[in-house]
Amino acid sequence: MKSKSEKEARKNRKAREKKASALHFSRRNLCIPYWVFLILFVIIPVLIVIFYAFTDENGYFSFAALVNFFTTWSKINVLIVSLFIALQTTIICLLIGYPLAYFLANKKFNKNTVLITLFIAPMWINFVLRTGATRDLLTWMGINGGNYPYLATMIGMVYNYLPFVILPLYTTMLNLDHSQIEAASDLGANPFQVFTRNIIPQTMPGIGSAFLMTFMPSMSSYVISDTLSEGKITLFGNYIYLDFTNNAWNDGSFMALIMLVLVGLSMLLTRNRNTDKEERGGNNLW
Amino acid sequence: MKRRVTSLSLSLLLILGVSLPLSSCGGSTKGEQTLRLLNWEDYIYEQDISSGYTAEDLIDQFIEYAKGYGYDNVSVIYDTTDTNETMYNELATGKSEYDLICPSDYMMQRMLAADLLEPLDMDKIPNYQNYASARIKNQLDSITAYNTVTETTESLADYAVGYMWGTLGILFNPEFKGYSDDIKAEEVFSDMQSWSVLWDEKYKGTISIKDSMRDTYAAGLMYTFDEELSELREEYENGDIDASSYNSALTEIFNRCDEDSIDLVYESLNELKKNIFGLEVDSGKQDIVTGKIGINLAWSGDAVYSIDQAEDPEEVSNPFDLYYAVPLNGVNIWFDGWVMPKLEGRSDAQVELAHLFLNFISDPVNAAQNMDYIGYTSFIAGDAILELVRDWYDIRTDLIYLNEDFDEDEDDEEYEYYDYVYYLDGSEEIEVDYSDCHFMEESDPSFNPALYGVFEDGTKAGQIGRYNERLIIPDDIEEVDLSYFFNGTLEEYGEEDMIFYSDEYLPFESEEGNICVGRQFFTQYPNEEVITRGAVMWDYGENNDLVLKMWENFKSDPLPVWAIVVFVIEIVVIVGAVIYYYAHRRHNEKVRERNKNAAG
Repeated sequence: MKSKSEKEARKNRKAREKKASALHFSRRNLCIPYWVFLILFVIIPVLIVIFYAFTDENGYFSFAALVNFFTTWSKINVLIVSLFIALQTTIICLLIGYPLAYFLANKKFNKNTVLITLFIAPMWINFVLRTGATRDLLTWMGINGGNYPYLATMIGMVYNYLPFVILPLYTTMLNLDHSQIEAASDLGANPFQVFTRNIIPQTMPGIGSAFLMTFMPSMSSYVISDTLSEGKITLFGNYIYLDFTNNAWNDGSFMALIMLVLVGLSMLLTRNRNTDKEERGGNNLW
Repeated sequence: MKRRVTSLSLSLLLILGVSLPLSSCGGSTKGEQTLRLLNWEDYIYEQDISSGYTAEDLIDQFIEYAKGYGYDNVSVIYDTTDTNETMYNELATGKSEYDLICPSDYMMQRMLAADLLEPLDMDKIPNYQNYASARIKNQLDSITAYNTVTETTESLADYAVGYMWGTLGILFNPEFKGYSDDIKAEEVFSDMQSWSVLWDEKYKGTISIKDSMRDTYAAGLMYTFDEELSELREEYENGDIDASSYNSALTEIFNRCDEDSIDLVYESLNELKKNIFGLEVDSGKQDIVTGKIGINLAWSGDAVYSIDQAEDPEEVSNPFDLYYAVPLNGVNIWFDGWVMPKLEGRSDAQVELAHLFLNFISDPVNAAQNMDYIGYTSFIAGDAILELVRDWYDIRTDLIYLNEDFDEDEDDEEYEYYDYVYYLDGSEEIEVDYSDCHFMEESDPSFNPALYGVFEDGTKAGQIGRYNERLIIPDDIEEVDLSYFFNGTLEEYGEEDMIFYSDEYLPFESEEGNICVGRQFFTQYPNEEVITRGAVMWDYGENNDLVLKMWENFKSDPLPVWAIVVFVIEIVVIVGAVIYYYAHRRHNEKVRERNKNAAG
C-alpha cells in the first residue's frame, strides 16, 4: 500500500510540475466531491426521515407515529408479511444459487465464463419491464397472481434476486482453498462433513453478502409483489408509498425508519461474521 | 378507431378557429410572459404525426393565439404529475409556482377548503360560459367547501373551470370464458345492472378492481347501501321525489364516511376481496383486452380505450365486443378542472394570460381537438364537439371505404372496419355500382373517402360525404337524445341535431326500461338518466384518515396458515442453527483450551 501511494504522490508531483500555473490541490481535496455527495444524498435525507418520523403534522416533536405504528395491527402485519416474503426469497435464492455458484466457479464443471454472464444477464434489463414480462409468462403457464398470489410473487422475487445471490457466492467460490478441502477428505471427513465443516465456513462471507443483497431489497420492493400478486400482497414498501401519497408523511417516515433500522441490524449481523472471517483470510465482498 | 379520419377535418377547422381572433384583436403589447401549468400525463393535445395528429401542440397553438391579444412573447412551462395528492403537496408546502393546475373534483374542494386557491374571473372566460354543457357545469359548480381560513362557505363555481368529466362504471366482456359455466351473455348483461355483480360468486376470479382508495370505496358504498339506494330509486321512478332531490339524496349516501359507514364498507370490501382476481390502477384496461379478466371496475375514459382496442383487428387477433355498464342504483361522476393556486407576486398580466388560456381551451374547436386526442369527455359542448361526436358515433357518418382494389381484396381492413349494412337498409345482397363512385387520391387536398350508400329515393350509389341526412336509418337503430348535454351551446345546429343514431348505445334495456349498458358512445356520453343517477364524491375532509386506515387494513392480508407454519419452522431452524453454532464453537474452544492446558 505504501509504495503505491508513494508512486501516486510522485505522479501527482509530476502533474503539478507540468501545470505550474494550476491551483494547488492537496490529495485530500479530491474527497470533497464524495463528501458533498454523501452529505447531500445520504446524510441529509436520513436526517429528514428521522425528523419527520418524530414530529407531528405541525412539526412539533411527537411520538405519535411510533405509537401509531406499534398499535396498528395492519402495519405490524405488513411487516410480518414482508419479512416472510423476504426470508423465503433469500432461502430459495440461496438454495438455488449456492450449488449453481459452486459449479460455475469450479473449473471442472465450467470452463466457460460465458455461462456466469448468462446467469447475470437479466440484471441488465430494467426489472419493471422484466416483471411485466414475467407476469405474462406466468399467466400463460397458468400461474396467475389472481389465483396464486404467493406462488407468483415468490417466483418473480427469486427470479429477480437470484443474480444478487450468485454473484457474491461465485466470487467467494472462485477463491475456495481447494487444498483445505482435499486435506479435510484426506483426514477422513466424509463428503457431508467436508461440505458443512469446510466449504460452508469458507464461503460464509459470500453467504453473508448474498443475504444482505437479497433480504433487505426484497423486503422493500413493491413493484414485483404488486404486479405479480395482482395487488393482493402488500409489502412494507407499498405501505410507505401509500402513506406518502396520502399526506401521512410522519407515519410513512417512521416506517421508512423501521426499514433503515432493519437494514442497519442485518448489516451489523453480517459485518460481525465478515470480520471474523477476514482474520482467517476469507475475502469480503461488501 | 375512427379518430384518424376526424383529426384531418379538425386541423382544417382549427386553422380557421385560430386565425379569427388574430385578425380581430390588435391590442397593446404585453411583452414577455410565462404561463406555468401542471397537468396529468397525456392530458392535452400533442402533435403526433404518425398517428394522424398533424396540427401543432395545443400549447404552441395557444402561444400563437396569445399574440392576437398582445402577448408577443409567451413561454409556457408545462409539467405533469400522476396523483392529486402530489398536486396538493406542491401547493401546501408553498413550493408551487404554477398559474394553473388541473386536479380532480375532491381535490379542488380540499384545496379550496385550505384556502389555497385564487378565484377566477369567469367574465374573462366567455367560451366556458357559452359552451360548457350547463348540466355538467352545474354539477361541478354545486360543489362547495368551507374555507377554514376565511371562515366562509365558497362554491367551486368561482374557482374552477371544468376540463374533462366521466363516470366510474363496470367494463365487461359478456362472452368471457372464465365465468362459471352455463352463464349466458344475456344473464351477464342483466347482472350488470347492479353493483353486486362484483360480489357475485358466478364471476369469481374474473374481476379486477381499482387499487385506489376512493374508487374502490365508492364501489363498496354502492354495494353496502344497495337497499337504501333501491328504495330511493323507486321513489324517484314513482314520481314521489323529483330529479334534483333524488340526486342530492344519492349524493348524501355517496359521501358517507363516518365511522359506522366505513366499518360497513370495510366488511363489504373484505368480502369483495375474496371474489376478485386482483387490484390494479393501470393494467386492467389492457388485461380485459388480452383476456386475463372479464370484468373491470373502470373509469369511462379507460373503458373507451379498452373497447376500441378489443374490436381493433390490428390489436387483437380475434376482435370482440366489450361493454360498459353504469349500474342502475347510482354511479360516481368525476370531474377534472383547472384552478389557479394562490401565489405571491403574480402579476396582473399573468392572471390575464391564465384566463386567456382557459378561454382558449374552452373554445369548442380546441376542446374537440383535445378530446379527439385524449379520449376523455370534455366539459365543452358546442358545434365542433357535436361534429366530432357525430363523426365518431352517428351511423349516418359510418363510411364505406371504397378503393380501387376493393372488389379483389375483401379483407381490406379499412373496408372491414366500417359497417355498410346500415346504408343498404338491411338487405343481404350487396350490389355495388362502381361507375357512380367517385374515387379520390389521398393526396387530394379535399380528400374525402369515396362513399357509397342507399338514399331514401332509391339512388344506390354516389359520393355521400361525411354526414348525410338522406340515409335510411334501419329500424333497430335507436335515437340517442343528448340535448341535456348540448342544450344552449349550439350555433349552426338546431335541436334536431342533438338526436344521434347509434347502435353503440342501447344493446340492452332493463325491465324497468332504464338503460345502463352500452359501448363507446354510451361510455363517453351517457344519457341524461345516468347523470341524474350520478353523484360526485367529495373530499372526505377530517375523515380522510379514517378511510385511509380502513384502506390500509383492507390492503394488508394476514399470512395464510401454511405460511405461518413455514415461517415459524424456518425461524426456529435458523435460531437453532445459530445457537448450535455458537455453542459448538464455545465447546471447541474449551476443548482446545483443555488440550492446551493438558499439553502445558
